[in-house]
Amino acid sequence: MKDALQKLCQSLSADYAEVRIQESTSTSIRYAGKELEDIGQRTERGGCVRALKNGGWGFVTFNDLDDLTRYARQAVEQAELVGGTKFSLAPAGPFEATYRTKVETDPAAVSLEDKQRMCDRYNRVILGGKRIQTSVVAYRDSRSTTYFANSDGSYIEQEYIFCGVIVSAIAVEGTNIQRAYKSVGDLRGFGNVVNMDADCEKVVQRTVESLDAKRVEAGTYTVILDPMLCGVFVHEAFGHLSESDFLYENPRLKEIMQLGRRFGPDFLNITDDGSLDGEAGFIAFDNEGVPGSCNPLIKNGILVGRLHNRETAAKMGENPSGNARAISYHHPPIVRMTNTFMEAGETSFGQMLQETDDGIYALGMIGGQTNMEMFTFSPEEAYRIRGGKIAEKLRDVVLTGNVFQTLQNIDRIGSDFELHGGLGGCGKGGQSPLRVGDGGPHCRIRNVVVGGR
Amino acid sequence: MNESSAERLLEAAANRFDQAEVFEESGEAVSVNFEDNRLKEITTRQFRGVGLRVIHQGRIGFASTTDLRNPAKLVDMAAASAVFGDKAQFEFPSRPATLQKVEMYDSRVPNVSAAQMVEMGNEGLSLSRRASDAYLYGCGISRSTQMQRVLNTNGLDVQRKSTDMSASVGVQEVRDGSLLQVYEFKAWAQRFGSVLDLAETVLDKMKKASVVVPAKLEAMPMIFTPKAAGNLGEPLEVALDGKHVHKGSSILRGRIGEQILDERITITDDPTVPFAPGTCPTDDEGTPTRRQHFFEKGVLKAFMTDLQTAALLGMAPTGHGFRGYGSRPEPSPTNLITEAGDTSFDDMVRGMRRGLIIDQTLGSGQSNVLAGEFSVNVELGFLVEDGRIVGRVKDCMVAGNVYEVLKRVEAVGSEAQWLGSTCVPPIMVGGLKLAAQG
Repeated sequence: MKDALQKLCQSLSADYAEVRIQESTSTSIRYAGKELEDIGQRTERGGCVRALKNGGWGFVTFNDLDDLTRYARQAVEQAELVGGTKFSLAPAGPFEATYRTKVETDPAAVSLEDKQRMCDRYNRVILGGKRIQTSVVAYRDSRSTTYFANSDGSYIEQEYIFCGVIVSAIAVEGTNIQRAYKSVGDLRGFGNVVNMDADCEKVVQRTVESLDAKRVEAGTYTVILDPMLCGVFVHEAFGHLSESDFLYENPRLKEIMQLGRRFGPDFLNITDDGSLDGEAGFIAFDNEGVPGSCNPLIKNGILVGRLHNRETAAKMGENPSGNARAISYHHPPIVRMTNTFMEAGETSFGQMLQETDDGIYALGMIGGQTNMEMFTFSPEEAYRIRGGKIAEKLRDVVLTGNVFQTLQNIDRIGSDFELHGGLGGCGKGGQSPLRVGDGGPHCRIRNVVVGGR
Repeated sequence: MNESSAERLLEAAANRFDQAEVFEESGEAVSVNFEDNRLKEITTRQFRGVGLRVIHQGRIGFASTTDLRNPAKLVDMAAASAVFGDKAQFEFPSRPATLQKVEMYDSRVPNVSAAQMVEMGNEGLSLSRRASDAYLYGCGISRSTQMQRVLNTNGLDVQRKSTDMSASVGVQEVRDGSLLQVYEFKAWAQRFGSVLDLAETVLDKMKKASVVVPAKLEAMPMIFTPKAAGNLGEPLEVALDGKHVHKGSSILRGRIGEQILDERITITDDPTVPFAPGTCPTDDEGTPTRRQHFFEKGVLKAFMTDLQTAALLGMAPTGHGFRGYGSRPEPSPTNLITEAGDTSFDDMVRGMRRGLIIDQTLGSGQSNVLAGEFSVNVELGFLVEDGRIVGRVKDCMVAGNVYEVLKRVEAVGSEAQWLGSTCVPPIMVGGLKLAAQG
């Protein structure tokens, strides 16, 4: 493989060329209610070539690997047609490396029957819950090997073993339908998904409690986020804006995003770290052949760094950060997060709560979205806070904020910390889901707008 | 995959299983991509893959691959799956007696060159540059062809070829530390020669949004434009899914014949519209598709099913079993059409004393969709006072429940717009609350 791919990259008349061949096998199991809707394996094999010439990019992806040379030439022709102003990518390597995820229990060594039994057990716990109408229990593992070569002389083989499960309960009373879930997923192997019986029971409890929750009233609230939701907040409120592909040819946004600008209080620290082995967003190398690494984004409230691919790094005169990622051979790498988190602070959760006379405590996550300025994020669960105590349960809470204001409104950062992966992931530019980790401590934000009645 | 190899795979599966079905899919798409006022990338995506579904000793098995070197392995994988699979409540269908003819292939589309698409994108860029040199223009134009074929051991062998051409135009402006972006998109099976229609709409909205007016917490009538109407349509689609109906997680279960929405709302699934993106003669299981109402004058008429779901519900399959090569069929719509009403958009706006036009939202689908809830940031919204747009509101949220909101319809627009495979008019509703600071 190595010689053929390296020779191909060298043979192309391009300023830069890279080729990726990917082979993967995945196992999925999905219960929906009593039905086992899916069980079995899928395999994929495909490749892609990306070429840069005179400042333009061409990208070709395919399943038919016999025609590799023809597709590679097509990528160069497309790049020529784009044209533009010639530039060089920020240097990286050349690297020769092999990475393989090391896990205690390889999911491939567990029989399909054992995986099915485990899912069946979780499903029974959920369906056995009082007032539970139906369930979803979905398991997925995948082993994916990528062979990468580029015209700089790098050759990198990477094998990732991902394994995760989601357990979800749905309760129905008339037109009142409520749902709760728990999802785990990362590179820690099968051991990560085997002990979720207690989680299933908690999911049942959360679902049923939501049936009696009150709809939130529209307004502006002080909000305490739990560590998981804090992770989503950091991802949406700031992470995406750190992705330099939005910036590098956007002069006005670049002005706003100058290193050294204050974004939050001096106890706010935000980092993206692709080098955390085992976490959902871990990468040994990104898809341009740059090692995954730790990149502080906000330090003491000040913007200190951002996420790059080799083009944005070159054009902004900064170092590549190892954030050029593609979800598969079917897509070109774009600037993405890895594991993104707010660092722990000094306030205990108890103290934070006690100091909150009136507000909302929001936990877990359904999702989030940003347009680089405004963002939304939705918790899985929420409670009203009254007089420093957790009061009645709320439902249908979705929070919104403005990147340039909301970070300034953080006034307490907790001393605890969690980082979460999961079966889902991040979406950008038509590439979803990308495995990422999001995390942080508890934190409190003032003046958060909440939609409602 | 050439014809003989799909058949060879089916033959190998027939020797091993009671019944088998091969679903194969292939296609090619060429796209040009403009960002930040320049052409950046041209992409070609070629793909082909195959899914093998079997029924053996009464149980369903499934496996898929893009690696066609070893069909025996795929057969083994399907066999391993069928050991555990659900009980099949259906048989693979035989060849339909007749198939309706529908228009979904335009032979001009595969001949659209990358250079021609670059030219179209550049025309839009020039228009944007003339409007303002502070605007950053982005545009993606794509043309594709795809083939789906399903064949089974009960004699069915149907194949369809379709084309698609799509484009999106987005313009962004950063001003006074605030960011505005407006986008429009279109898709159709027929060739188009310009994106200027999209660019003109975007630039017109950029102009209207250039003044920001304060938003405050208040209830007022709101118009969902076709682009924002997905917030109302998505929960309905989920509830119409026969799987949710069967599990009891659809709010519409057991309510066929009931008045669910305002009587001015008629929603039809129509696979026969010439060259619409969701047009097809059969679904991906070979069940013939047909035009049918989901809601007729607000009354619930039907759900969407695939073969297994229909059997579990004791209903006839509706022809909504769609999938990619790597997935099993799932109920999903073809072309979802909401009937236009009789109020022009301009009249709707003129009739508002104080109200909001919602055109783009953030966070759609991240609420309790099963219950019909939506709660979204108004990414692009225009405040109307005394029948006139006075400016843009931002940093605010709108929330509601589709089943309540679509009972409080004040007007249905006369100008329905195709956006992908949905066609929907502007819809004006009453009594929603805008949430904002202040």
